[in-house]
Amino acid sequence: MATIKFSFESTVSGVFDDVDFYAGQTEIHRINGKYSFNGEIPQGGFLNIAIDVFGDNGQQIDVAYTCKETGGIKHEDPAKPSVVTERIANNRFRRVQLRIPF
Amino acid sequence: MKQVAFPLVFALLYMLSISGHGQDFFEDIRANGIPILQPDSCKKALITPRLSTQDNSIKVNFFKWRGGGFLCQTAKTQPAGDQPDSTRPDGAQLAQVVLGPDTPNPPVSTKPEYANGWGLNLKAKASDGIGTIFRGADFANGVTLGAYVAFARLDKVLNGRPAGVFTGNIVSLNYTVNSYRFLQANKPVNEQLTDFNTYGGFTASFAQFRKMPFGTDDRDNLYLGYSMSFSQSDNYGDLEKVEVRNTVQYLIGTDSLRIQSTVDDKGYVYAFTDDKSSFLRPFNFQFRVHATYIPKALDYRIAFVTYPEVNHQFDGKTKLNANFALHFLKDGEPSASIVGLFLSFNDIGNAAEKTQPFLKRSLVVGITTAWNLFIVKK
Repeated sequence: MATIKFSFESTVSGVFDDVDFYAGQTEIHRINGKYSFNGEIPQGGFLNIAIDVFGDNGQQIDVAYTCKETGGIKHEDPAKPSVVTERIANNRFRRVQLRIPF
Repeated sequence: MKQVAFPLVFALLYMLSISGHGQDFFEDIRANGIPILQPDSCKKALITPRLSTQDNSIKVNFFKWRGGGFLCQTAKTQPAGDQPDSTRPDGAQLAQVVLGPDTPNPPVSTKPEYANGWGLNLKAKASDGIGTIFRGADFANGVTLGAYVAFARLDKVLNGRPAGVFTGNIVSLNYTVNSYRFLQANKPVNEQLTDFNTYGGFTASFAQFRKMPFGTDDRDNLYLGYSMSFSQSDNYGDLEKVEVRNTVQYLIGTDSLRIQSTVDDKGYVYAFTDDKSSFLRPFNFQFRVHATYIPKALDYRIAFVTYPEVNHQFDGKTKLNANFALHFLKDGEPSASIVGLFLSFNDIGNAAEKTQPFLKRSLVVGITTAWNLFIVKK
């Protein structure tokens, strides 16, 4: 099965107590305000992104992201194209999930 | 000058304003809150100018989280095994993530996280209006300079479910210098008016608060907290205030009269003292509890606040104050207050032994508003 190399970059905007960002099982840490990484994934696979946001109920979360192969082909979650806007609804917590096909 | 200064200050602060990521905890009618920065980046610091109409004050706070805590995620290192192998255009080292065909995400972390930060605050107040703070050489009638440290903990589980419960502890030390002048009614007329004299004193405080979900399905926001402070205060606020103006009457011709008042750049307000009411500077212990409720039913646009407090003066007087506030909040950002309306009943038991009716001596209404500014430290 062929492997695709890609880069992912995202910003998570809002007023939060904390944000935990995962690509698959790997936690990605913010660098200069952005969550970025380079990845490898089998062709036909899915990139699962989870963004755990802690903050006030009612707080808006804006997730902007770009995901593109080395050759420039862009990928996105067909159900949640960038920019994804959600709100923390209860428990002062929300997990925002992306599922990006390759 | 006064009429010009306030709009200028307002316009200046408005132009400098940026969407807020700070939050004032334990704010009261005198804008005596303690702002701490909400996490965005530990490379940023928060500057919060704040206006209060109740004591005609302007306060500026500076706050910054220290690196290493959960509020400064940039200080974290990538986990072992995810060694950076490339560089972003801005120079940042990126992690390399190798994924399976459908690698699932892990469950929500349940590990509590910790952080700490520090801040400075400067408050200036005037007795004749906010605009007079900036007038000429007379900077202000009262100046407070202080420093504080904050310790935060975030618990990520509540009743076995993922949740955010944020607990903060704040320790602060302030030094206040006030400048007052008095009309001493129990002295001969030519000795009754004093010039400004300065009085200084320390205030040490500790505050703890918790932000938690509340209500049906945990959809509302509730902040609970308490604070204690020990200070050398004074009873200037309890004394009656009088305006004293030097006026001269001129008789022009036979039937017209001109009354001329001398402009006093230091204002007209004097505190009134006599044999029954004198200026005192007792030590003071204050205990305050604080609750803020932000319901989903109002789309998180209004915060209901109450903060009853007990002030025990070591001259034997104990005052009970009941305070209430409504904050109008920014849409989609319940932690950001656009404007706060305050209503206070001070000294409900009349420990100051004022002779005025209850509402006149006790009820105070005020407004505070703030702008949060950021400095990006490269």
